Order: sequence, then structure tokens, then C-alpha cells
Amino acid sequence: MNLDTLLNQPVPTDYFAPGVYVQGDLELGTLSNRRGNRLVAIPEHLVRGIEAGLVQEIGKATPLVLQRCRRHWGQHLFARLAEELAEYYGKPLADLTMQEFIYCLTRCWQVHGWGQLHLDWSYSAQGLILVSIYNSPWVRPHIGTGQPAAHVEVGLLEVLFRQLTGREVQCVQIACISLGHGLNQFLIGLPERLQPVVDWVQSGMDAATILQRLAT
Amino acid sequence: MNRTVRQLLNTAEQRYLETAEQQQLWQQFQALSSRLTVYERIRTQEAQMVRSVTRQVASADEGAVLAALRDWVGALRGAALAMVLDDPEFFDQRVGQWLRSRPGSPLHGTLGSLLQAQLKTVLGAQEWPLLAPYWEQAQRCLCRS
Repeated sequence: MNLDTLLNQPVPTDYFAPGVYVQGDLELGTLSNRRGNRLVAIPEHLVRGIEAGLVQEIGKATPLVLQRCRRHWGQHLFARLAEELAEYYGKPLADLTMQEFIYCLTRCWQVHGWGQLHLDWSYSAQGLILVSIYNSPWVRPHIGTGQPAAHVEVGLLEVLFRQLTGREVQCVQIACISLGHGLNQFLIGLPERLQPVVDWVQSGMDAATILQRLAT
Repeated sequence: MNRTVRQLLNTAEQRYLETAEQQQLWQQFQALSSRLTVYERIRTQEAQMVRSVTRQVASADEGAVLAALRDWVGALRGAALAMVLDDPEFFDQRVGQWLRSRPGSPLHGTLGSLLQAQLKTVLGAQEWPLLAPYWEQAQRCLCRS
């Protein structure tokens, strides 16, 4: 880039800026993103209905099916993000700085109404990334199943980070709104690094204790 | 659309606007004309102002200067549009949050001061105050330390 290019071209800023990213056409009764791809606002009751229907029909296999669905969605989401961001910022996704990509990812979450996403790299020495999501639409507060239940987010985050890192990382949920916590929290890392966390979660250990153990 | 106009239009959905409210609307439209003039001046003078700034930091690393200037040009364009709309929230939503996420650079402060001096010269004492609040918003985003 030189000065002439800078002055004669649009300077891309916030791809997911609200008011630009989501646009509605009342005549057609449609919502779309800034590239014209159709968006659909799904009512919360439909999300609950799908999960309730699955539980009724397939019982214990529900988490597995939901995670598979979200992995499929995650692959498409990543492909779409890669294409859209590359087009907007004028460079391949791999050339965005990590800071830029993380910013876009958190804004993507916000603008679609999936809550507030925060990434915490404090556990990178342990090979893990801590992901926190506030105001998640995917789980009901205080339903008390005994185990974290944001299967949608587990699958989505897992596939996003697999695509991003090119490694077979896994995602484990350690805190859940359904268990009365104020947010959903996840740890992402390679399976061998995550195994102790999986065991701790299954034994009912709370997120604060898990994070404390990781830090020591 | 700024908050005042939006609120007035929402009010007008249910009833005619009262005289004082119509007056407010007139003031907004008259101010819009002045703000558009300032916007046009910034647009036509942008290249000259930025070139002048780069000449003043000629000894600095070119890549770093361009990267920081890119942030300032984005900030200036966003601030100019927010000024036309008279809407600080617009600036924050469209560019402010993005600017706050940019990697900090000591050049942001230097280039921001130089560009501000250029803007004050180009806009003069009458027009600079229209842009100033939005420029300050941009400064708060880019000069964080």
C-alpha cells in the first residue's frame, strides 16, 4: 500500500457495523447482510421447540445431534466469514491480524444476536483458549440438567477453531447459563490438553475451580 | 439520522408536530446545510492535508506511518459523516469500536496532532467547531495511552 492507494480507495473499518451489516426490505419481507445474503431472525421459541422436539424424539442423543448440526453450520459460517472478510478488507483471511479477526468474530456474534463473545488467552501456556459468551440465546437459564448444555456453541466454536488453526482442537464447556452461571464458558485446545478438563467437568467441578487448577 | 430528528419523526407518527418542534426540525435542516459544506471541504482537502502530514514525518518508518495514517483516514471519514448526521452514536457504532480495537502506535498521537493542525487551518475558526467533537471522539479511540 502506498499513499496514493490509501487516499484513492475506501478505507475498510468495521465490516459488521450495525445498521450497515443487517438490512431489511419491508416490501419483500426479507432481511439480508451487506452482501445481499439472506438472514433470518429465528424466534427464541423455535430454538426451544427444536431442542424440546429432539429430546422427545431421540432423548440422550440430542446433544450429539445438536453438536453435529452446529459443526455443519460452523463450517459454512467459517467459509462465509473467510470470503466476506477477504472481500471487504481486500486481503485473504490469513493476512488479517489475529486482533482484526477476533474483533470481526466478536462483532459477528453481536450483530447476529448470538450474545457477547470474549476470548481470553491467559491459558495459552497450557495450550488452551478460554471463550466466554454472555447473553447466549441457545440455552435457557436455570434449567438445571446437571451438566453444561450449550451444545450448539460447543459444536460451532469447535469447528470454527479447527478451521482457523488447522488442528483437530476440541471444545469443552465449563460453565453454563442453564446451571445458574451468568455466562457460558468454554475451553478450546488439543484433546490431550483438554482431557483433564473433560474429567473435571464430568465430576461436577465448577468453572472457577477448573480455571484455578489450570493456572497453578 | 440524528437522535433529535429521529425522535421528532417518531412523535409525528401520532400527531402533527407543534410549532416549537417544527422549529427544532428547521434548525436541524439549516445546520445540516452548514455541516455538508464542511464535509465537502474535508473531502476535497483530504489528500492535501494527509500529504502535508506525511512530509512532516518523512524520517519515520514508511510502513508504520501508512498503517497509522490508514487508521486516521478511516477515523476522519467516519468523523466527517457523523458530523453531517450530528450523531456521536453513529461514529461509535460505525468506526469508533473498530478504531479502539486497532493496535496502538506512538505514531497515532503524532499523526493525529499534525492532522488536527491541518484540519484547523483548512476549516478555520468558523467550521472547525462543527467537526471538533467528532474528531475528539476519534482521538479518544486512537490515542489511548
